[in-house]
Amino acid sequence: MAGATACADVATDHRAAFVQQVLVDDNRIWLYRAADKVADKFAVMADDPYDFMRGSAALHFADLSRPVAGRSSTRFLQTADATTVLIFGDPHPENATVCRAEPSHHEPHPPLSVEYVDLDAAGYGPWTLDLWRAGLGMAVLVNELPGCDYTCWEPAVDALVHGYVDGLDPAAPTSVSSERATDTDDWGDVLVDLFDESLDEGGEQKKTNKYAPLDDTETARAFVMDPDTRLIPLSLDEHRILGQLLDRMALPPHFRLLEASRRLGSGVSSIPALRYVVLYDRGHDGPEDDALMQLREVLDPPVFPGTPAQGLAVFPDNHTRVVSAARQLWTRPDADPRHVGAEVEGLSFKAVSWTSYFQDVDHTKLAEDWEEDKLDLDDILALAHDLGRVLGASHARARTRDGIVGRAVIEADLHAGGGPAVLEAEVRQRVRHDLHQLYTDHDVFRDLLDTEGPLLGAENFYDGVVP
Amino acid sequence: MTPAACLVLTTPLVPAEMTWSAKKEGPACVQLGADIAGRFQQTTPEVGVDEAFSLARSRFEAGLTQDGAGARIVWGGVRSGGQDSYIGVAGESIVPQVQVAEAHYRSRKLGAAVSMGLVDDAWVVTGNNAWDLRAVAPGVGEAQGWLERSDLGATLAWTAPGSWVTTAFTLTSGEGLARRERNTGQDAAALLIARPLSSLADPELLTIQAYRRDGSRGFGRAPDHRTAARLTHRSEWAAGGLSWLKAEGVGGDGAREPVATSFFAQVTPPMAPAVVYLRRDKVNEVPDVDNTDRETFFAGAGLELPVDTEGRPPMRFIVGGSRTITDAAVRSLSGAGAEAKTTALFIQLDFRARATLHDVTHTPIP
Repeated sequence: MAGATACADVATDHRAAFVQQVLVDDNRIWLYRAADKVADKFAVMADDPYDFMRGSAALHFADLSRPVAGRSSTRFLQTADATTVLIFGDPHPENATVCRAEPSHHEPHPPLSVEYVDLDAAGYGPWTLDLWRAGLGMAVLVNELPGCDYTCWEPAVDALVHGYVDGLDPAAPTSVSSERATDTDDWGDVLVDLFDESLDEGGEQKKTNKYAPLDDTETARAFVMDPDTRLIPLSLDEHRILGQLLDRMALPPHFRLLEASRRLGSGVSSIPALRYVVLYDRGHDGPEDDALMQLREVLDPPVFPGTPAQGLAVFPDNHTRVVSAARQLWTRPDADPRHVGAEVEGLSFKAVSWTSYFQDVDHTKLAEDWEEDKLDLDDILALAHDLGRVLGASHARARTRDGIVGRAVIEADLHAGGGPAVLEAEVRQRVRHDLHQLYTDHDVFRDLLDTEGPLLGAENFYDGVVP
Repeated sequence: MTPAACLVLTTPLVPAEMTWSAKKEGPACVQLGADIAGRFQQTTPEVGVDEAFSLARSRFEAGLTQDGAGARIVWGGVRSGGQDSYIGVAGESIVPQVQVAEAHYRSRKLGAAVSMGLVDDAWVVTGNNAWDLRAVAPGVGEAQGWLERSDLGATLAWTAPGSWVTTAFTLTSGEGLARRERNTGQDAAALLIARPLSSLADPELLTIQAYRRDGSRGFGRAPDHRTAARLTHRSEWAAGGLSWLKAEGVGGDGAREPVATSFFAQVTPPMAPAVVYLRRDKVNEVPDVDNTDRETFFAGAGLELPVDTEGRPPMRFIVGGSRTITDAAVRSLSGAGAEAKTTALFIQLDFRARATLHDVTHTPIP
């Protein structure tokens, strides 16, 4: 019996135990029904520090809220309203996407905008939290570029903060007309290139042609279900849930379902989530109106530190949360015209466009361009500034939980805390600490996968049987 | 009729259960208990839903016993998904949670009791008995999330003749009442209660208590040890206590080693059906470093209803409040001024009572 008591079975590496506990708990819901997908997610996180950052927001926030001494104190967040701004929760660079609203008679060529499209972590929280998280994301992205270290990422984080403050200005540019998308001084080259790709590839229906190419008759499409597309047929249960979802969602006029599949392995945090890809048209028999959209399960956001009424759930459900957040945080509510939500059997889902008009910032592509000298530090700094400006403008246009305009609350708190220079120094210091912690935790995480197993030891949930 | 003889819902850690004077084990009986409190509270800083109704306490208990062999089950209401989740049961309904479910055998002749199942945490249950206002606020250990109400395991307790000392030993899973086992380690805990005045007066007039738990938590087997001491007083019209609790590891974070002290006093004056209370909790998150404290002050007064009830009335109407002051370094975001001071004012109506059915016949379930 003595060997089974706690004294003889307590870990001495406290950090490893903490990382293990937080990450397993963060994936607990999925462990019960898709443990193999959780293992896939952990494997992706192990391979790349940036992907580890994407999959470990809960760990970042849990670490921030640990009551430990010696941590630098924020000069901001001195009022309750400053802690209940509508924030993205996880505005890392790859969450930034070029978006295009749907053309209409009065707007045949809608402008392009840059939005943080994934709102799974959105909620009311401290405005600086988004800036810290965005800064950490930018820092790890830049730090991974060959030859780069703090001499690259520190100016990038500074540029992000400058951009954020610029974005609070109501006159800050937040979109670009389709006609001027490739000839604008308002945005840096990285995003201008994405604007270009958006218009080129979107017009060609590149994504639709890749995943659901036309058949030999050039009149009908069918999904390519293979390891490259990671599309697989639906199970009976998944088919039933999809049917109910489509019955309940606000779909585009004349929507006709042509084919549906499940997609595996997208994203990082949401790898284990149930994710559908739907091929549909708008009533024309030809392929000209064929399009794709994704429907994906949405879980709870991470708990934000730094608010007196911590994490109190104020939305009716998760799909309402993400759709409501989009309406306020995006440049225009229809930046993604397919962004709607619905619930089936207690599961919240959101729908999003899946077209080539939507172009994501991609950290691996940036690294390739950097290695091929297609990018230099100035381009990275411009990207950081642009993404900071998008973040600031989004916060500014949204309302706090009590209905106050975000711009007024943030500007007052920024002023009370010492202004932009103090903010810049604070974010840089915060990111320096968090970046060091992230790399340390990444090493700890990889060691845990080696020693505890692909589920970080959560295999114990299954009575010793690894799923 | 001797209602006091049926004590199936009472913890064997208080001397009322283990008198040693009993010539015979308790008669067959059934007990039911209810402890329900509804609250309206206003919180400042005013953030979001700052004025709200809540269910401060919702607990229903039932037990049956015959000749010392018995079983007890306690249900409490919990918000499914918690306060910060959108994933719950039938929306985010309040659902019943089994908080205690134990089979036990108590030999009053020997002063001994053994229970197995989902059993009380010895430090929490004795703290609740001393504080007596659990519906107003949980004890400091529970409030900080360092201790849970119960856990899967077993308890062995023994009270000496004359009740001058009680000891209890528990072996539990270590994950608390809401989580299943996550590691191979078991938590081992020991409680010692000394009642130095038990030969002169009511044994509860003065108690000295000490507690130690060696534990682990989570898949990572993080340390989860506790060491605690408590001094309590209870007389007909007054109660008070002073406690100290040290945690080594909190919620899977083995590096945290906070310390809490708590002091309380309450008066139920004999001339009026009323209760007045004061309490101060001080949590030092990093004892080696200055200015890492969180202090909470509680104060309130209540009217006991119905006013003309013989003995202790079952209902209380309480007006109270609390104020928490948190040092900058240990706020949930270090330095965030919005978290510096939190004040809550509330009114609360609570009811707690037990009913006993005697002359019942127990029949084994085939």
